[in-house]
Amino acid sequence: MPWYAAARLDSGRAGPNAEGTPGMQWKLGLSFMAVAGLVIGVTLWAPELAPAPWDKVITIFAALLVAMVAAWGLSSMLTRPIRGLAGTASVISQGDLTRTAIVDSRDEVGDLARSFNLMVSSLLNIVMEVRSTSEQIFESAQALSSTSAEVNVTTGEIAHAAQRIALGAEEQADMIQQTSTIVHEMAESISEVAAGAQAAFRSASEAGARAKTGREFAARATAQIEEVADRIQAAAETVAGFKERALQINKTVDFISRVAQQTHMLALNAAIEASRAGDEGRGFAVIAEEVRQLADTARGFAEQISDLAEQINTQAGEVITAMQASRRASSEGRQIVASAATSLDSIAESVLAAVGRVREISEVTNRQAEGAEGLVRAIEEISRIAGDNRSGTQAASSATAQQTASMSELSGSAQNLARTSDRLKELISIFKVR
Amino acid sequence: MEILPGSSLLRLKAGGSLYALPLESASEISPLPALTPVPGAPASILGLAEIRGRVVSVLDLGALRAAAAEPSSCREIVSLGSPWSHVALAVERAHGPGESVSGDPELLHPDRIVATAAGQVRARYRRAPVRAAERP
Repeated sequence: MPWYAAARLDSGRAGPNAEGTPGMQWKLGLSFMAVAGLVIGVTLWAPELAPAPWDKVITIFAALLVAMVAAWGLSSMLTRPIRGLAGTASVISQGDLTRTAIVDSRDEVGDLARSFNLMVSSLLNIVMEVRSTSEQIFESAQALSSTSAEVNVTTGEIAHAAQRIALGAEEQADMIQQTSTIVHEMAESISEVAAGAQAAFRSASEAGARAKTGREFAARATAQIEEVADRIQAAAETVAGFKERALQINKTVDFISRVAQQTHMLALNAAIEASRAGDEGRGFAVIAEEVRQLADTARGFAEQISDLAEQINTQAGEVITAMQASRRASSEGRQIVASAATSLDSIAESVLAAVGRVREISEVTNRQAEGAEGLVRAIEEISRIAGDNRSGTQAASSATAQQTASMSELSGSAQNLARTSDRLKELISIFKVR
Repeated sequence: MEILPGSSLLRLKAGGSLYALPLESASEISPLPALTPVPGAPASILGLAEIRGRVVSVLDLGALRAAAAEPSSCREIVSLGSPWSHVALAVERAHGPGESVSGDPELLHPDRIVATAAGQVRARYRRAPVRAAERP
């Protein structure tokens, strides 16, 4: 129980009986008995002072009376300032600290009153200090309560934000995971591209070599076509000779034919002459007939030869035509092969240029592949950091949640403090200080 | 002139047809000589030729026998024997008795041939006006 409550209880109980406290009366009785005993003792111990026994009784009574009066006077002289002090104390016990005990004696009671006054003034100072302190505490508690409420709200927002940050960190970690996957795939694609560029480089090199080989083949083909054309030319000249020979054969055969025709005619005339000769000419007719047959046979052969020569002539003409066509074709073929060779040359040049470019591409893609590997490592590092970040933000989120709980408790405590300080103020207001 | 049985025959091709002439009726076979055309003569008379110092009338056998005379492609002439030794038949080809010739020949009689030609000539000159200077 606080001291001020006890004071109030004591003051309530002791207030009305202050005037006749048993302690004081007891002390007064003891004083009276001491005075009476002193008188009796003096009387009995000093008979020379007492004239007679009777006088002794009267003296005792007189002494008793004097003692009683002295005791009353003494007691009233002792209790009056004490009563005043008790009244003042009773008023002070009601909480009025403005009162002071009136002091006009220089004895122990006066000392007591001065000490009382000193005590009251100290009490006043203490109460005033307590009051101002309790007011400050109340204000501070209120401020703390409102602040803690605000902090509570803010901490709630912070906890919300931390939760969102944790969610964001989680999403970020997921995104980084996806990014890592994509970057992995990209790195693999770049590696494939690098391999493809290498293969393209090899293919282009092979194509260049083949184009060069093709150029050589084209040169050889040109030479062979020229040789074939020359041979065709020679053969055409030979065939033209055939044609001429065939014409000569025809002329000869014509001559043979004419001779055969004349022979035939002569044989017929011989037969006519033989028939005129009658029986004598019969043998001649037989000879004439044989001559005619020979002439006909010769003419038939001559006609066959003529046909053959004609066929040779015709076919030689056809062969010459075909050979001329072949010569033209071979000339065209030579031109085509020449243009093919030119094309192959330009192809070889283009392929050489392509080889250079493909080599550059291959180098660039190799560097890209290395860069992609570095990127993969960086993304993995980022992913790891994001994972750490996620766990960190989760820890921060749970910490802010705990902080929110702590702030709630703090807010409750601050409210309790405000209520308690309010109560203190209320209690302190009992004291009247001015 | 009679055609003796068993006599040998000349086969003559002319105007796309085949004719047969007894060997005895011919005197000579020779190539087509240079011809001198006879003015106003019918188409069957090709002209006059000189053979071994004699003037011979050359008749186109194909034109003489066929109704529609085609342009002659004769290469030989067959001179007839006596009494028509001044007449020759122009043919494309004359075959001897021993030669095998496909086709069924029409037997020619020199008298009839000459008569036909003479008839054509007479018909021609009768229709045509004869001037005094040309008359023998």
